[in-house]
Amino acid sequence: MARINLSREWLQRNLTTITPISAAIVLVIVLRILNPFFLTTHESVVTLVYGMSWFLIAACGLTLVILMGSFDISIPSIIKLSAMLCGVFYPQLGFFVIPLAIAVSLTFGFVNGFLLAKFNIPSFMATLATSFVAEGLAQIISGGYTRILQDPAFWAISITFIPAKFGLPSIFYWAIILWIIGIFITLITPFGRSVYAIGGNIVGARLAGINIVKVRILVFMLSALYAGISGILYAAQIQGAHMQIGVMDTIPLFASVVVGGTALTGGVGGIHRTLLGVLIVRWLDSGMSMIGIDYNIRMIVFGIVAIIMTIVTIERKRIKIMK
Amino acid sequence: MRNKVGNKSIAISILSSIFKMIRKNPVSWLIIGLTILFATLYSESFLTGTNLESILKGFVITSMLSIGPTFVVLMGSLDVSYMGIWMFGGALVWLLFPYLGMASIFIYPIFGLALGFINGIVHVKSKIPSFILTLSITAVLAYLTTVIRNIYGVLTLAVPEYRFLTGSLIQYVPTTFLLALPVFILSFFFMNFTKLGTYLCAIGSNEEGAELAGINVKKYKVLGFAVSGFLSGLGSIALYSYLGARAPVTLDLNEMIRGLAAIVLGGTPLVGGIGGPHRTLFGALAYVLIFNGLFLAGIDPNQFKLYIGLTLIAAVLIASRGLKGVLIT
Repeated sequence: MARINLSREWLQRNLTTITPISAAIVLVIVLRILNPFFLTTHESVVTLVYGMSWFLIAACGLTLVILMGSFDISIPSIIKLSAMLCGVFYPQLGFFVIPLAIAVSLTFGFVNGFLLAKFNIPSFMATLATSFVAEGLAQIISGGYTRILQDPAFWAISITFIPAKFGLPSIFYWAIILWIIGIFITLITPFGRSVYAIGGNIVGARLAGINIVKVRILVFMLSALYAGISGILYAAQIQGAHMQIGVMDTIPLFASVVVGGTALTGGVGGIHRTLLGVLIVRWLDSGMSMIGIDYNIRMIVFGIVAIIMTIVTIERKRIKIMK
Repeated sequence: MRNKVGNKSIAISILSSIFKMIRKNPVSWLIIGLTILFATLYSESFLTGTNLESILKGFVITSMLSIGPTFVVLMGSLDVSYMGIWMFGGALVWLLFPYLGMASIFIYPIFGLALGFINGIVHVKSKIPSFILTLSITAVLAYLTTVIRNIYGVLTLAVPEYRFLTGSLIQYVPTTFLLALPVFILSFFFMNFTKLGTYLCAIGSNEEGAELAGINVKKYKVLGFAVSGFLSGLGSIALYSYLGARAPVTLDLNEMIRGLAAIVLGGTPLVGGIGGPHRTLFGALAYVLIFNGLFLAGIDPNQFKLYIGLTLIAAVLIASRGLKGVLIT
């Protein structure tokens, strides 16, 4: 009897870890049955890697914000703006577009954090507003046209294969490096601990002497930095930029974060969980498109998955009031 | 003699009530200022019947999108499902028209009420942040609308029989405005003549205190979402004319932002506790005036989104006055 109770308790405590791992295993088995080439040929792995790398970088930034208990809608728009900056200004500026795109992204992150921390504007509202500004800027600089990057030197940032034969494209290594840096920041540095503290109990964190304004602004800047880098690498990967980048990517991004096991209320989870969430979302996406399911239905599935996983991950006992 | 004095005092009381209204709603300064500015800048085009009619049309659309969610914002939550109600309800009207005929438009308020109840119950029971819940539901409904369109292989889900809604029965007064009037009246009724308005304000300003005071917080939260869905559904009947007797089939964030911007501009802060539908109407008018002026100035359509974003930032900055000391995530 005691053993059963123990195992049930263990199950409940680790539900957010077990769910994504078992979902991933089930998905791999189902996809292998549906398509015998899934994850066995070099091409299928490369396709998967191209699909998930820029997505993983953006999801890491979003995870950081969600860990703090806030939300960032502006990430897809910043990805689009950063990619568009590369597409439009590369012919004039050369490789100086990379610092330019990063500086613009950091500015947007700073404005997001400043509006939240200094003016007490709810983060989804502040980031919704800045996302429109970013989209508007992307529209203005590009005039709404697709921009094509013609210099192979710029493509090389993302599509150099390492090792050259049967290797993976370099965008994958960028994504993994940024993911590891994100894990390092959140789990080891004092800054990361204060992010968890703010997500867990903001009043307590302030009373404990954490500079809330500074940490919040820094987290939003980091998130925008990840989005900006993701945009640059994505522009190099698809060798151009267009206005459809990131349209309604908020829901899949958010789904991948909560599927990984990061609670929307903050303080629970971490960037290390997001890799699995991204893998599941991308596998689900490619699996459904393999059977021939329409893009719109895939988005419906992501919306439902996002709602269900949010319900699973939230620790209801701890929360008294939810707005 | 006595009669004259009576008239005078009535005039004074009307004037003083107008002044009171202006003092209570700072956004009315913005409306008066913008009207004077645009009337002097574009003296030929601004105060013409056609332009005023288009302002009225825009006002109806913006207020119909925002008047329902105001009740949810009052209690500090957020409901963006009005876009989902508008789009998927339009698909339902299109699907039901062959069976129900002209009565099929009434599926809108029914669907809105049902979705509002679902939103409220899921939000209260599972404690998901309401913004994320309603945003996900909106995305699901929007893509469902697209799927329905693709299944039937049509370009739009238009029902031409309702096209009379787009015209105006009286000159310069769009029919949609007449359709919107009952929604306004109903929202004022809910706000001022039922317990609901007071209780939602109480929940918004201090949820724990409201619970301790004996208010059934969970019940009234669900009711708030239901009223929001119902009013959005009723408003969608007026919105149905917006694109020529059909609902949009792809999610347009520009439209979604209108509702939120009008609520915030009107002076209902996002933390709740104060405000109401009357303020949202002011906000909707101000929003429409700003963009009417921009269009008269002949802005580049590429810059449109930038102006929306800047307006929204300005609106939330104005609305965040007096929130010092409150910690918001």
